[in-house]
Amino acid sequence: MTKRDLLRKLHSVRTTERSIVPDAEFVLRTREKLLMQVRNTLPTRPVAMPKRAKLAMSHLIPQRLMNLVRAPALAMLSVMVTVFGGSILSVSASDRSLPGDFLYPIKIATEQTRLAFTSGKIDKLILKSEFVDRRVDEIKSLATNTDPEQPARMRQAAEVLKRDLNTVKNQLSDVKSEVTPETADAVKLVDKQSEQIVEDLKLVRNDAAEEVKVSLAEAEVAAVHAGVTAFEVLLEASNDPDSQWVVSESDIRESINKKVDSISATLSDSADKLRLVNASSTILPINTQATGTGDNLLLGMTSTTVGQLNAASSTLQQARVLLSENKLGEVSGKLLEAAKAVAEVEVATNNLVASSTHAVAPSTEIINTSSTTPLTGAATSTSSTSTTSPP
Amino acid sequence: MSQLIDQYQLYRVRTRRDADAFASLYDRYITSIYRFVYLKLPSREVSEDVTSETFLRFWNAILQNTEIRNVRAFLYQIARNLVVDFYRKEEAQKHTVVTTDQDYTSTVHEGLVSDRGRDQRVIEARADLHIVLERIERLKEDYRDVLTLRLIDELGFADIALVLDKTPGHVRVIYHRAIKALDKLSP
Repeated sequence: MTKRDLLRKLHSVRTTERSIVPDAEFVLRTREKLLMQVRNTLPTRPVAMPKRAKLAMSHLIPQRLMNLVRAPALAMLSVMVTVFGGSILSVSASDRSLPGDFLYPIKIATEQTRLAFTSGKIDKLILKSEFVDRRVDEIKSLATNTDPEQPARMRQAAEVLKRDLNTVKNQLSDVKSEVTPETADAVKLVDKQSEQIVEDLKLVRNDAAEEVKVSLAEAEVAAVHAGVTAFEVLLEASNDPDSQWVVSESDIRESINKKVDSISATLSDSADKLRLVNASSTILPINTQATGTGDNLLLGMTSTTVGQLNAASSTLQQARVLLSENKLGEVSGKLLEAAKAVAEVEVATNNLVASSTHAVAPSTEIINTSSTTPLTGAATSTSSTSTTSPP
Repeated sequence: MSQLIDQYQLYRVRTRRDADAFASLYDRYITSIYRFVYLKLPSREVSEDVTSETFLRFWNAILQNTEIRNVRAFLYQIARNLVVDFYRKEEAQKHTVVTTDQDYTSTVHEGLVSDRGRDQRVIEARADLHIVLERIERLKEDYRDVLTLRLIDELGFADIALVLDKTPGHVRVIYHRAIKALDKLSP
């Protein structure tokens, strides 16, 4: 038999084999039997995600393709690590940077990128709130810094904080229309955060340089504004039949009461400082020309600051009245008005305190110690100032 | 593409616990596996047993998380091993009565089990296969396997490589050497 015959016979066998068809009944019977066995022995425990991903890789990416791609992919990865490794380290290092540092713009840019890649209004709001916390921490860190550039850096930090708080305020306005339990939680978080920011900024402001105080006061007003907007969102939710179950009346009351108390405390501080300045005004050239009004406790103060203080006090009082009348919808506007007025009073008061500090050497000590001095003790403070003043 | 579909079904069985995906694989390969064993085994009943046993072992391999890079080749490998096992058992039975030094390929045609139920064409094909196998029996075992898997079962070199646990390049070389060796066999 020649090779050709052999191959012809092989071809014939192959042709015959092609025509062979298994018995349909056998195919069906075996199928049923096998499937029964498969279903009985099939593991029921779900496959974990990492294992599933590994199986997908091994099953769905052909081995040949894997072999072809592996080497170039590893090479590319090495190049990327070399090129971008430095950038990743820079981003990591920038996390600890403060305003005025070389890496600070990278930190801000990284945050913007994170924000851009975050989907969902609530997630964006929560992330931005996190960034606001960072800004406050930065201000606290800078406050302990003895760098000659510190005031400028503090001002920059306060500006960034103000900008971020305004963004939060806008984000709050965006979520107002769709309050869900998640939204309500996020808004409550922002509300509490704004109160904490106001407290923190007050502490920092006490020891801050004069030129920084105005910026910090503006940031404080922005924090109050964000808090008031949060309150408005909660109030809206409590009035909406679809979402009122998410926000209780106690939430609303707690939020507004804290704001009123906080503004009231700031106003009292300012009043105390004004009284002190008034008490020491007899030796201050700036105040010698001021006209007094007899029994008025704020005798000797500039009429503008007194007017501002009285206006702020009156606005706050109106807010209290509205609150007592349960006109919550109108309280927020009045509260915001009061917060702005109080901030202006604070700035004006600080300016007066600064003037008195420049004029009287040990006056800082007087202001610090007399912050709790009763109104009637003004004369005592005055004499104390006189005795401690240089000739 | 065909392999990708197989791998997807396998992935579904392993991750989604999808019995229907296994059924799809069964539907895809039942006929070719049956054909593969049919002419090599003495009867239809034995062919059916070996075919169903092939799929059962395939399922066990899935359960044991055995790596299966090529479902088709894996099934042929199981089927081939079962055919070899069958003739080894037959051989052992024969040894208990008469000692013989014939190997399993020569027993294909001996008809230990009758050809009942097979039509004339199939009987002739089996006779032809016997003649071919008898001729190439003098070749090396590797040559025989590659020639039959390539020329009768029409497997690709990559699939044969998986069935015989060799590289595709090696299988290609064996095939060409086997074809040359056939020339030398001719009288």
